[in-house]
Amino acid sequence: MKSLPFLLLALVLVPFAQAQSRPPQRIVSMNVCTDQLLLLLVERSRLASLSRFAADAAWSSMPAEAIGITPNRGQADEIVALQPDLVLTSAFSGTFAARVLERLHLRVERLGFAATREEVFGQIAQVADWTGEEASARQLIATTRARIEASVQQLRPQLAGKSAVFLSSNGIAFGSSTLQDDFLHSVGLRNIAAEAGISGPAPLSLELLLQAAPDFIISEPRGTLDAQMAHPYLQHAALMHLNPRRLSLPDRWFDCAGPWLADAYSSVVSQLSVTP
Amino acid sequence: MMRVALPLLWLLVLVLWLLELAAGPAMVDVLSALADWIGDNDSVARIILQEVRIPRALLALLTGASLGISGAALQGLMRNPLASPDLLGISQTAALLAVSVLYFGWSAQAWWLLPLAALLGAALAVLLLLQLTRKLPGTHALILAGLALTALTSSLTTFALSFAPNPYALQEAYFWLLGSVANRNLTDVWIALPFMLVGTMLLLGCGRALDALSLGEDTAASLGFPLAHYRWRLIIGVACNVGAAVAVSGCIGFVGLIVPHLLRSLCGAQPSRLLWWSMPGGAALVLLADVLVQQIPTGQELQLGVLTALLGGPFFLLLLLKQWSER
Repeated sequence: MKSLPFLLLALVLVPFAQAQSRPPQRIVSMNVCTDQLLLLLVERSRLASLSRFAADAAWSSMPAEAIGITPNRGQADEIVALQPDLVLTSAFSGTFAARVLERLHLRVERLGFAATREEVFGQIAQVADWTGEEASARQLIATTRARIEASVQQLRPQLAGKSAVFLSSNGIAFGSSTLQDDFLHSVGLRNIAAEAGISGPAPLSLELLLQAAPDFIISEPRGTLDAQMAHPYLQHAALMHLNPRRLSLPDRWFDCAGPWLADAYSSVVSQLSVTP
Repeated sequence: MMRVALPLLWLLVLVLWLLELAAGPAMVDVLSALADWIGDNDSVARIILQEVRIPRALLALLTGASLGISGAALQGLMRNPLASPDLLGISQTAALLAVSVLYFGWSAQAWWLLPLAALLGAALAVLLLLQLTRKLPGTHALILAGLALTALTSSLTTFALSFAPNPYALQEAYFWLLGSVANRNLTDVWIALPFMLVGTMLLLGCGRALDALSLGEDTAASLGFPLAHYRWRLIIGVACNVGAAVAVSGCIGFVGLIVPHLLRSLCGAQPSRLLWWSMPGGAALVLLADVLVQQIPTGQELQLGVLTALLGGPFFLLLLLKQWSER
């Protein structure tokens, strides 16, 4: 008897799940990365709902485009009520909700983690494949690739052989197997976090940072409140002795796959063109 | 034996303090770093020693001593061997107020606002607990009230931090709830030190009153100790110490509980002597824990509170078993 409501629900939903011959028309995204790829590739009228972070500039690189689209909190019940024919989420977030949706025979697709430029392009192509937008994805990938290549040509001669580190709040550094690592290597920079043995995002001790003495520290300035809240690591007196060049890049350009990766490259070009 | 034991304990603190200077992820020759410092050479080793390791070792020592003496004072004041800053939620209330001051951006206004807020939190918690024990007599009531206060303030701290503007904000909850002295500045030492000095002076002056109080409130009063006066003095002293410690290094658990227990039999169960002994005792425990924290090859450095609980927990259980079997 307990499963009766679920059975009824499944009966209602089966027709939606079966309509796969034409590309999905009621797409729901539960993750801010899939939100943005959908906004880039798919017509708004086909987006039934995006995650509540889609319109939040702290997390999304295209918040304005998400305004007016129904937000969701990633809960299974509200997503079922939207009657979607495709649900996109990340392989790492909302896994319980996604499993519930699959039990109800909804089509759920999960996006993984992009740690290289090629994997970023792969994710764009992947979402395009799920939504039937291969043509526009091909164009987006080609222009992004060309923009990155142009910046790399400019940056390599200036940066080759120098060292850098990406630092986020609480002294979190980005080691090997991260998009930040791929970014540094692509312009000829050494990643001191990876050299210190860090893999993925993990805290880098102040001592090791001082010893490695990187030429560049790249971080996202989030204002004075964050500087105080998240250990005043970047204001530590010892860093004054080091005096590295500071570059500023938002974390969100690396958190989610998208053409903003090219913005990160061109932003470094323009920051370096200004003499410190 | 007892006369040499206290200097020996301080000697142990000195040894551990020097060991702490040599511990750390970067391979640094401390002697050559010291030579660079004296010779005023701007080497990386010197910067690491001067700006990273010395502040860290000083904070570990100061925090440990403060928590040790506070635990001894609380156990004397409440005449309850389970009283301690972290078990009763005093540290956690201090952390909540500290986080609030940080969260609203007030700590940028003046350096003393952060320790003062933590101090107020600690004082409020002690007052609340004393008030509750008057209404609910007995050892268990105090511990239960402390548990409730710990749960309430810890969750409020986590709640406040979940609104912070960065994706790694919950790491900060780790810091505030488990404590750490990693990557701290010399500024943090100067913020905490004045409050700790005042608090320690206040507590050390209460030794004889605590001795008298161990015979019961009526006896203490008849011996000529104005209890209300000493109660306030103890509350303010504990609040200064715990508030300052929490403001710079978060809630480091277990120190205030086990250190007085460890040393009680060594100093003849005399509360006044226990105050003096718990200072180096606490400092030694926190220094040892912080040396160990840096040796354990975990992906992320463990928080200090994890280590003090790992060291203290089993030991405390053994101590409890031993004491109960002797009864």
